[in-house]
Amino acid sequence: MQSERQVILQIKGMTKTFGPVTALKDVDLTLYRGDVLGLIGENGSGKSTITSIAAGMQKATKVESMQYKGKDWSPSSMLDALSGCGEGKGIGMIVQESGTIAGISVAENIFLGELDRFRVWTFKSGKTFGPINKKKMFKAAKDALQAIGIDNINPAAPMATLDFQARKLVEIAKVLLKDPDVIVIDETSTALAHDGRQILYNIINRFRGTEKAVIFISHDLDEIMEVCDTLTVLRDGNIIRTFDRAEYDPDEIRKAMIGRELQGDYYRSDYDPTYGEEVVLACDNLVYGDRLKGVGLQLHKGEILGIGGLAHCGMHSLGKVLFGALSPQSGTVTVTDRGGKAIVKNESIAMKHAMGYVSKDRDTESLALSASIKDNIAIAGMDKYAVGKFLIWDPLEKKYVDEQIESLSIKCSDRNQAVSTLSGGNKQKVVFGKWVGCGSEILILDCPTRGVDIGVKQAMYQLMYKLKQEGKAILLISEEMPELMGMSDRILIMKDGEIKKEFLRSKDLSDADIIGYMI
Amino acid sequence: MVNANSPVSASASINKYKVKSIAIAILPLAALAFLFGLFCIVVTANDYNLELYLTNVINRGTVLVLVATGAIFIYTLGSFDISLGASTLLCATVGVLTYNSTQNVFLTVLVMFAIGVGCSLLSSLLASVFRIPVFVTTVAMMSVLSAIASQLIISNGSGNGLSLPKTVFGPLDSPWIKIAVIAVWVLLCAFLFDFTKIGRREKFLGANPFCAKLTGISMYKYAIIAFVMAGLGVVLGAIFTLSYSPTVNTGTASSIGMDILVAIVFGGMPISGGPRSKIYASLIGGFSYVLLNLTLNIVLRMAGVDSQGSQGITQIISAMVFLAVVYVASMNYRAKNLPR
Amino acid sequence: MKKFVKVLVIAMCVMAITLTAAVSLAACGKGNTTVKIGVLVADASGAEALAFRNYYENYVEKNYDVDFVYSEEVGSDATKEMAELDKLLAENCKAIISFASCDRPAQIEKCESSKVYYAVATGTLKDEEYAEYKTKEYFVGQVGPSTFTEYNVGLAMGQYYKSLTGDNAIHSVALYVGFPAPEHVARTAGILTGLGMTYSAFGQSLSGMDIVGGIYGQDNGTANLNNIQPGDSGITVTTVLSMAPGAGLDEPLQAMLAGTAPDALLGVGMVSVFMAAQLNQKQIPYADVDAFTAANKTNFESGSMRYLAGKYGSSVGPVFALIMNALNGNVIRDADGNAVSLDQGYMVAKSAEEYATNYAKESGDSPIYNKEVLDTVIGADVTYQQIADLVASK
Repeated sequence: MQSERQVILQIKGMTKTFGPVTALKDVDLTLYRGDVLGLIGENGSGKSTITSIAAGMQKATKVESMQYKGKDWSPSSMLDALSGCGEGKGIGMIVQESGTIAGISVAENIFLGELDRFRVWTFKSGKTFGPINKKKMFKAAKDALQAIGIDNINPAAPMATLDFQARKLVEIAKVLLKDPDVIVIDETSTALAHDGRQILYNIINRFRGTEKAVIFISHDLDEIMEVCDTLTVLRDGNIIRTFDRAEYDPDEIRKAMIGRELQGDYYRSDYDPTYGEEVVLACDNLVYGDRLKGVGLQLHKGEILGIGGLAHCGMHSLGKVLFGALSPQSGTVTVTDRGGKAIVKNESIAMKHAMGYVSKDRDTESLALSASIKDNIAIAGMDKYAVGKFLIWDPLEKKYVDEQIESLSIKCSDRNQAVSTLSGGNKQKVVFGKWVGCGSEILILDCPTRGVDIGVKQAMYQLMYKLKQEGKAILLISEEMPELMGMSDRILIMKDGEIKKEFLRSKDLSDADIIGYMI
Repeated sequence: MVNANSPVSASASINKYKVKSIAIAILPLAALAFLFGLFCIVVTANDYNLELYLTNVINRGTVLVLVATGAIFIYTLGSFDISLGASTLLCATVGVLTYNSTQNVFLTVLVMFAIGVGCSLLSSLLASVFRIPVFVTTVAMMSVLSAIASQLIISNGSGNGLSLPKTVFGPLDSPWIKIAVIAVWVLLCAFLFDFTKIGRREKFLGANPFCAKLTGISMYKYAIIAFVMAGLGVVLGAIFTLSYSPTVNTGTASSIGMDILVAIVFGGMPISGGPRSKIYASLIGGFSYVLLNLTLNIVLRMAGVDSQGSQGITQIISAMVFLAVVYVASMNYRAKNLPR
Repeated sequence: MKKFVKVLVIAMCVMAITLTAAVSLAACGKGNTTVKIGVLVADASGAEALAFRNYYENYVEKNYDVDFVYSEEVGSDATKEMAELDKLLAENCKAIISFASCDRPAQIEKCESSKVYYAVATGTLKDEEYAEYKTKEYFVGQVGPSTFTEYNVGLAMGQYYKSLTGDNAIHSVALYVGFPAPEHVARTAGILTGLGMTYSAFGQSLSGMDIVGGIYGQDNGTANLNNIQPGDSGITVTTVLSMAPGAGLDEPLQAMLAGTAPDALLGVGMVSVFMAAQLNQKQIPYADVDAFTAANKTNFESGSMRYLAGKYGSSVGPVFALIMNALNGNVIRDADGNAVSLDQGYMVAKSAEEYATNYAKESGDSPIYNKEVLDTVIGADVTYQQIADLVASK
């Protein structure tokens, strides 16, 4: 059946190594016009690598042949790929982490590399010169955003003032402006809340069944099965199997992904919403710009408190305010631990009182990418292994780090491996290792399973549950309803900077009950 | 080895990778050894006095290494202090003025400490108050400090500069004392850098200040610590400047700020700071830089280039070596940071 | 990995070539028995410095069995000056001729402890410094203009401009007062006095050499326009340009060029380096204390240079003679047994013809202090008086 369809991208015998690690082993991939191809696999399976090579982000170590529209394809950069190597309608990629530049405006990001077209004057030759006509540029940017259904982003706004979802949407607009024939969407939906995802799905549907094609990468099995026409599973740099829609079977796909049956519970199995009486973290009447409008809550010992809502509901700001990373205009955050009560005014106080914070923006805020696994894990736990109050003894530090690597099964060559070379899931494990290892009693987890494969997700859920049972308190901020329902003792739903509704853990709780309060 | 099940097993390439990493790590030391050997060959082949030339190397390298070692703390933060030369000049100038008006060595040293550390603190506090990058304040500080020092030299000295009796710091002008002081200072800094929480936090701040902030590390507290350490390096540098030449002029230590940058990169310090920062980069790089300059100077003069020309060509070659070192170092870094 | 290997191979090749070249060149240098004289220089690119160097390297070296080893330029950094001196000593220089003045006492002491002969060229020690070091065994002496000579150079320049009459009469002048260095301040004081002006300092009206103390004591070594008091000559100073640290030369210079041009600019040194092109272009007549060089010949002939008090390349001949004698065992002392201290004047040109005549005296092949002249003061029996007489005669 596939042979009747027109091939748009064909890769044969692609191998890619990063230093000691082989990310792709002699892989073949075929993409057909009109198709929405899903790529799924555990972190580090090679999904991003193969697509990023096709999109010009990096070069293959070895490739037998790579053809786009029947011609040899070897883009020198992402821009080159996007422009079809000069022939138009190329391959565009929306990357997993931020692909925009913070220091310039939204419009400048969208038209990066082609600002000349907005210069005021034009030579006869067609070459432009003089200052940029910003009005014209902003108008064009607004049109580009509206073309994909976004009308709430100001093209003149500095990129840094936008939240993660908005930045992602700008990136999508930027790629689509070039009218590529193939788009690669790499783990993008996890950065988007409900409304953002709808925009993305609309775009995918516009490509479906046309002369164009989409490669969609996601860890969310339900989502990928719904969105994609065919599904290719990768594991350890190899293509394991390609499923047609008719063959979709979640268990089969999972098995292909992890190479074994998923053992044990995925979320916690109990529906017992009990927790300790002792309040360990509380806030009252928190106000922070228009993100938090008088939020108050209490987190108890041994409780997993879920916070849900749409991207702009204020829940991400709440996490930062609770950890002292943002100072509220009014209201206080109080932490109680063995040492007594304290007002959380900054991160340092929070840490002194055994609080830990996992940011949604992992690569920017939770990890030092250029540093090693050891550096990242050890930094928060120095009090645990320091000699006296001051001295760091290398063997003790290594032992401490190795314990975290061991207990969280972080896949790495050694503790000195740079975190940047790890897959998303293993990166997140490092973040968990950093905060769990140092003995955090209160953990604020903002989208802790974003960009993480199901195997790692399961491990993290089990870890959260174990921590709960040990009496630790967890504030779980999430955009994924099943995760909130599957893990939380209580769920607080936020909308427009306010807590709108509280749900207790229950077998009968459904998405529909909750979503009504979010939208 | 911990959990050795790498994402994809590749034991053969791991070995190659490790060999490469180790090779890059020891490259600065190997380069120093090579330069030292080359220098000795060139000097002895010319029948120059090797002992005097080696003393010259120590004299030229001492102030550079002392100031650079303190400066590593600032560079580790991913920041940059171009005002260290001007700080050294001001510190030495005020030291001379203090001694000349009090004849009290203890007070002189005390005042020099206050000036050295004070200038550094002022840079970091200005950065903190105005919330601008530290290196920006140091650019401004460089102008201000050298202007103040020049004014003090001109208004208090004769046209030739401002002099201190040789007896004050002159006794320190011995290669062995210099080697001992360098050793103690480098070891002290290495201890702080590698065996204390301060060092770990400094490095982490350099790696990612946002993440460091969310790990409870105060940028400003550790920037102040870094600047205090740099200030101490400046004080030592100023003392040894005066021990070698008891006269300060408007041009004294003027090139230190840029020399430090080049030297520590020669020594294997990543220009972006962070966890791969090394204290000993100042020691290795400082002396490598001095040896490279002197060796090139001799070789070029032998090849018929005059001293002025050789000075220029030496600078060009140093710049090329600088770029090559940064390139080789970044090759390792880039290999580790490609997207997965 | 391939790239890494490539870089390593290239680096090793470069190093190997360097090593081979170094060793082979070094081998060529062996066996050379020529006496090495180190030359410590503060400035290596000025017209004067180049003229001196040309004389030593292209004339003296060809006529005597000596090799001049030049330091890198040390600028105004006593530490670098000392490091460069140390380097010259490490290269087995048997004597040092110093053109650097950051810390001359330190230079003398270093040479004394190293048992290496030392002489000061183009300039002199301060009186108290000379008094302290004149009996040092290895301090051969100094030949150059004294502070008083510098003052007189300025004085003659000022008087000349004041004396101009008729169409050439001067009503307004700009001054370029150089760096806050002793010779520049002395020349400035001389110019002001020559123009019939005084200087206000410490509530007094100073004249003559007293102006030097006033400029130093009150104005940090740079004359202040507001303190210059015009005399009865009718000449006024409109602009004071300087290279004082932090003053900035460019902006006031541009302002002067953009405004009403002064009748002349009188400079105390290196006008040809810093502003000759602009002055020539604007046809503003100027005077300077510099050297008789080809560049200044052009400035005189086709530019607007009208007065030059200058040294010439071979001005540094007598100091070489002193050093050469010392190296040959004849350490010349004055009548009191002290190191030689000789005042050396300037040649003056007030017209292109006069310049051409003076310039012709000093050609590459036959400088004023040519071999024939130098040989009269190099020898085992040469006395202080012979050298003093020779310097006075030129």
